[in-house]
Order: sequence, then C-alpha cells, then structure tokens
Amino acid sequence: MIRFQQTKVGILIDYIIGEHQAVVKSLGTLFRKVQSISGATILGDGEIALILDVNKIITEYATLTNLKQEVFL
Amino acid sequence: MSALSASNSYLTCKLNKELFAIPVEQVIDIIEVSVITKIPQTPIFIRGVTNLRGNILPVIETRTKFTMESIEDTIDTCIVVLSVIVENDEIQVGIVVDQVLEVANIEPTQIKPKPNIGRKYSNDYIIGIAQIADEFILVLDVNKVFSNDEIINMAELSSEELIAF
Repeated sequence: MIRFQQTKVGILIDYIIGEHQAVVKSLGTLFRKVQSISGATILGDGEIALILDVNKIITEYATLTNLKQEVFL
Repeated sequence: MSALSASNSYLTCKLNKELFAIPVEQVIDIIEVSVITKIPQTPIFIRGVTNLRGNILPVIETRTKFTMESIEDTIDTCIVVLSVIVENDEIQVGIVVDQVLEVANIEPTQIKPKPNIGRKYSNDYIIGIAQIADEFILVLDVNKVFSNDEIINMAELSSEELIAF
C-alpha cells in the first residue's frame, strides 16, 4: 500500500482484504488519545475495522525518529 | 453510598472465584463475548472494541485490570455492559467477567466498610463488602474502576511504544 504525503511513503501490512465503502464511527471518549486510529467502521459481518490515520502515523514516526520533514521532500 | 443505588439491587458476578456486585442501575446489558478488535496503543487491560448493535463498545479485561491471572474464555465468560460517567459524559463500556450469577438484593446495612488491608483492588474501586450467607461480595464503584484517568490518559505513550507499533 502506498500513501502520499508530498512524497511517497510505503506502509507495510500483512495482507489486503479488500476495499470498502465505510461509515466512519468515532471510537469514543476512552480512545480519543489514540493518535494513529481515526475511527472505526462496522463491516457487513458485524466485525469492526479500525481506520488508520495514515498521515498522523507518518508524522509521528518522523518526529520520533528525528527525521526532519526535509527527508520526505 | 446512598446516592449510588436508589434500589438495593446488585448484579453479582464472578471473577477468579471472587464475587463482585455492580449496582443494577449501571448495568445496561449482558452479552456474550463475540469478535473483539484489538486497538493498538492501548493498555493491556483494554481487550479492544466490539460491535454492540451497531455501536462501538470498548471492552475492558477486568482480570488484568484487577491484577488477576488471565485465563481463556469459557462458556460462562460474558461482557457486562455498563453505563459510566467519564468527564461528565455518560458512556458505555463492557467488562469481561468469568460468570454472571444473579441480581441480589443487598441492603445498605449489609454493606460493611472496606478493609484497609489487602489492597489488591486498590481500595478505591470498592465501596464496601457485603456478607451474604457465608460469602463475601465486593461491591464495586464502577465509575471509579472503569472511568478513571488511567483509561483517559492511556494513549499518552512513550516513544518506544509508538515505534513498536
């Protein structure tokens, strides 16, 4: 999976299940400080899929590893 | 204590052979453990979220929260859905218990003050202890147990943990 943030960034995942049109639901008060997940959605079979906030994950990772924004440019 | 339960009905449930009582006013539902989605960057006592009739319900691993040894789910394991107050908001959380027993009537006079020794459950979580027949039942203050700052602040993590994710 490739995601765009001025440049291309790769995100390593185990496997791709599919593509869905999703109704985004909030995770609620308890999880509001969980940065990397922006919400969740309920799939057809009732299971919950978490929605990654990809931009935040990349920004956080960049900050933590002291990579400057320039690296991405 | 009086403000906590207008009626004297408590749902009793079992965790690690010990009995706990939850005021029925705060119990919304009792559901079976179904598929639970884990959420990264949350403490170990959060089992994840589950689908409760189209809503997302956080599920707390009560055994872990109470520093009890964790076990495999059994046929009796279920989730008690509670209504708790978090920062003036009423929210629903599910807690995993080994077994739900019954709704018992406990008179305020039967609830004895909590002991000062044996701080296994960090005394704050218990309103008192009721003795019924030969058994002791720990009366929980669910607002304290499941809505304290620990959960709210749980995602304030160190950088190592974030990288690990």
